Amino acid sequence: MTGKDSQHLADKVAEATRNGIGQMSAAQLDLGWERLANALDQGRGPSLPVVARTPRWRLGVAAAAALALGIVGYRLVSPRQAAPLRYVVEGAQVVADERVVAGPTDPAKLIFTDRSEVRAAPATRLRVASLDARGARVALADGELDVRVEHRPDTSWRFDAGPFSVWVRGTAFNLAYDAQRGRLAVRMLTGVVEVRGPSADRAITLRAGESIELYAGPRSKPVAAAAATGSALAASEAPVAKRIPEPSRPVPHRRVAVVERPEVAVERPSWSRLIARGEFAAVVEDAERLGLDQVLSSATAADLTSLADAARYTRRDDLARRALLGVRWRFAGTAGAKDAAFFLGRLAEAGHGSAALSWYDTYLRESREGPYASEALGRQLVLLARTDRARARQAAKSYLERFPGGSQAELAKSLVE
Amino acid sequence: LVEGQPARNDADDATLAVEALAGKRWAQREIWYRFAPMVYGLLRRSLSARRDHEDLAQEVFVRVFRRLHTLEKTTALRSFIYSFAVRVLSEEIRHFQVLQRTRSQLVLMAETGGSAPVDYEARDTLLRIQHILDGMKDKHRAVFVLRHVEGMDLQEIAVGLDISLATVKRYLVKAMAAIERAAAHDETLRDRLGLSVEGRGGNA
Repeated sequence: MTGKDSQHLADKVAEATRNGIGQMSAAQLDLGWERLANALDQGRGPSLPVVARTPRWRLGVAAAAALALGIVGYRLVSPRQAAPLRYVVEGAQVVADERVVAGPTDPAKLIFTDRSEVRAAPATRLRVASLDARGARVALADGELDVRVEHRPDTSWRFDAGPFSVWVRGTAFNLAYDAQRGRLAVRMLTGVVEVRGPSADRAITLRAGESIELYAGPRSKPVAAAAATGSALAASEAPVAKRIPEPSRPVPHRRVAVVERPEVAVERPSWSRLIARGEFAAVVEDAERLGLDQVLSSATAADLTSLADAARYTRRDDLARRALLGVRWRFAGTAGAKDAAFFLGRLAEAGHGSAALSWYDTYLRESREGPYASEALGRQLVLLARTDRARARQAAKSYLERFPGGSQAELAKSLVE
Repeated sequence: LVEGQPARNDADDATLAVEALAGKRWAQREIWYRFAPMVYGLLRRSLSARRDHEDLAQEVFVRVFRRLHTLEKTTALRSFIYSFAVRVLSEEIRHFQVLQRTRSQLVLMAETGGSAPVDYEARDTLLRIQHILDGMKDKHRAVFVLRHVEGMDLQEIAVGLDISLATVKRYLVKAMAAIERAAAHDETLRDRLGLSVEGRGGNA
């Protein structure tokens, strides 16, 4: 790289860093001041000693001391007081009765003083029903939430959605409730939750990697699907449930079956259902009818993923790419966002090989044991074998160590030999 | 506002320093709201996502208020706070495992408003740059950020981080090498940054 290019690169990276990284939100400022004011009220000193210079030979001793002091300091400022939690909202207003309505195109985020966060998808309606020192009770009227509850020994959070409730102790999960269809969907990322129906004496326990969809049905409806899957929900509650246990080899969340309640009049089939029927063009047409910008900025993760699938199957690569980038940005950190990196790699293979390699790197970094890990590493192998034999050999060794019986094992062996 | 104090966000830095030193809560609050974004931005850009930048910002301001009596020129409040931020940054780099902070979630605040189309490409570009920065050693990253993002000169960086001028230069070279290496393997990023084809390296 020439000196001019190097300077240009430094300038560009610096500019992007300056403009895009490190902005402090209004909520962070408010919470930060609250913490600082508390610390000043308590006469708290710095957690590390204020010293002009630390001789290098004393760094080890200082580090040990700082460790002890630091932990004490952290405890002091950590918001584990007995007072009820408080929260601030980003991207939406709190109206009467602690109701929060996310805008039609932008998500909202609730940040609690115990550092738990609830991210509401656009157009989601919710209410913070109550707060205490151990957690909050949040009522989801309609829409989708990404929840990350900070785990503490006494944590107790509850999310109500229609006739259902989700009890939480410390976890991350996605919760969606469609009020019109009475459909509840819970997708676990980490931790454990209990999902309960209208009578709270029975519960379904969900663990990391598991998903569930429930439909609030009439009390007379039999629960064949629930019984078939060993659901603990009572028949009298009549939700139709499908529980997908964590498999020995992870499968993408998108494979979770959708169980529709037959007698419910659905205005239009869900995109995942259209995908299951092979009606890919219908999904793309539906998205175009609704407006692509609107869909990309407000659709649920499941719908965006379905749209990306449909676009890929109908060779609308640019749309697929936009949908997948949307999943990665709007639902960052979720399994869907991680999987999107793999599919972006597949799409990129049609253009620049290095862009595909970069996406596969991203996928493998984020999902080393993910469902597409074997394929991502295999695709890297194939691409590198054409362009960079030295890196290909390294990748081949890695591939054979991890997937000795994989589909690219023969290629890997030939590269190693 | 607290203690029934009137809003004084038009107060100049010198007034704020004097009033905060006198224990006026409104002035302390105004100092936080005025300078916390600067401090947080410096820390967030300079240190990897593994660190708890909000905790570190708290640390900076606790120190600032504890040492406010040592501020000689009250008009220099901004640089006084900045120097504490650089000091905490320097110490955090050296004592990098002190608190084992675990907040690893990348948080880039979305500033887009209304119904304007969302530029996912720009965000993706930013994530790629963030990834490059996160892959660098903190000391290299901090020197790069202080030099190229914050615009400090090499001597200021050396004093602020308590390292020699030669070390600053060496870290800067290593930081640039890491960025060039990463860019060489990321054709998408190079295209988006408008880097010339002749400047491409790596396996491109």
